[in-house]
Amino acid sequence: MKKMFAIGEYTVKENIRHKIFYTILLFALVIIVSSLLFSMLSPEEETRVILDIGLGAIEIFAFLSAIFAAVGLVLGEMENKSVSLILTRPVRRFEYIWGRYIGVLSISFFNILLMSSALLFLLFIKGWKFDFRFLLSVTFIFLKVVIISALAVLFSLISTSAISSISFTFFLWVLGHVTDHLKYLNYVLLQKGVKITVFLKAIYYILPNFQYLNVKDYIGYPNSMSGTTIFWQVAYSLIYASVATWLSVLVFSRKEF
Amino acid sequence: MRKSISLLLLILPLFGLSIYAQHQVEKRFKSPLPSIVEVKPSSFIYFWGSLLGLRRLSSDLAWIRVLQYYGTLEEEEHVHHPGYCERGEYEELLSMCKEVVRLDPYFHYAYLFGGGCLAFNHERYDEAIELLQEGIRNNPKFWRFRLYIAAIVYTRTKEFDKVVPLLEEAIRYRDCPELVKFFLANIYKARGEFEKAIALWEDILATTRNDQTRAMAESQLMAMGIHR
Repeated sequence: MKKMFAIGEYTVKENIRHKIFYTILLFALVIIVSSLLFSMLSPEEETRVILDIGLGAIEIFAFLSAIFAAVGLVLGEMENKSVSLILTRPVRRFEYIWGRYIGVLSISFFNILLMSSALLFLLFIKGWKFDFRFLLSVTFIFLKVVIISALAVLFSLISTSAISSISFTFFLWVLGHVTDHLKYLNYVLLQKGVKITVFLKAIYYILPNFQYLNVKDYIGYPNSMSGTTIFWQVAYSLIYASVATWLSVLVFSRKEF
Repeated sequence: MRKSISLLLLILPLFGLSIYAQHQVEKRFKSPLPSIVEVKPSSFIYFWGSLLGLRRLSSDLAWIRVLQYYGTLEEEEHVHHPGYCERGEYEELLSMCKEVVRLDPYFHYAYLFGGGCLAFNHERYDEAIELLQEGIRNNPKFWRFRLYIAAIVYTRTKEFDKVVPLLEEAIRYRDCPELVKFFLANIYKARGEFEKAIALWEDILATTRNDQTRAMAESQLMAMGIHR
């Protein structure tokens, strides 16, 4: 456990040294502040526009920073063989992968915290009344990042270049938001006599379902989610992410350096 | 090899557990938003926004587009189609508002604003009622849509004695569009209730954040002989 956290700490430090980390963070803050300009276009719904643009920016930039950190660090270390240096020490492979993953999550958590604080500050300036669903939305954005970071680490181990693993991760991000449409696709295909229900169901369960975690889109929805639903949503995210991370450990354990 | 097998023995039950958790969520939670296939967005921006999980933001962008469309003089920017409706103005207003509320069916202000504009500014009562009825279908507990429909029906039949109390109730709420206040003020003015009309325009002047609305309220007050 200690070694894992040491690798995590090292990942955070390494990430902070990267220029891309600051660029992404700066862009995010610029977008959040520029939501004030957009809100001027709709003065009656000012706080709604700021809130939506802000939460959208938090999600996109947290996603970007997570995939760049996950893909860049793990793949980069394998390419320049510096991973061998770490593995010659008494560090087991699963500790290395989990440590890296914890580091990426810590960075994302810090990013989300910073961006959310900036957004909250803007909202309070505009006279917004605090809504508990804001915290829930931000927490669920982090849960999405928990899943996508685990997948990004996995893809960085499977693929040979950073571009392909980033593309795969982005592709999964989009697919994860439309998995519900697989049911519709199944319905349409069944009507045309094409029976691939089992195949589609398998894909449905293999792909991450981000729609369940998209609380920021349901912020205006009058029926609030129950505690049990939230519990299962959190459980799903953590279990799914751990499956992806253990798969990364499996792939990594079979690699030779 | 033994290591891989033991890892697989850990991963497979975990994956089973993830399916179970997903199933539990599925049982308890159904997305309240209509599928993007049903919405058929007019712009690829809204489509991609929805694909990336930014549905509410897409709705906001569509809403800003409505405001830009409605805030631009039609003679300058849009083709005029007489005969489409009584006045032939802003003919796409209903379809654009519908797109906004299909992207986010809980965007109450869009229904109120769209319904108010269509009915009180353009006398397109059927379109206004159509939009507000969609609002009632999606938000059955939001009773203000019913209030607006009643006001629109009485406006159509020129029963202003019945319209006034309904609109007076409507303007008590923070999310009441300013155009409803304007409409009520004009009714007061037409009925000779100048004090009430002036009070309403002064209220608009004090609360609005829209320069155009402020200028309109000021010109109404100036017309009543009140200079600020």
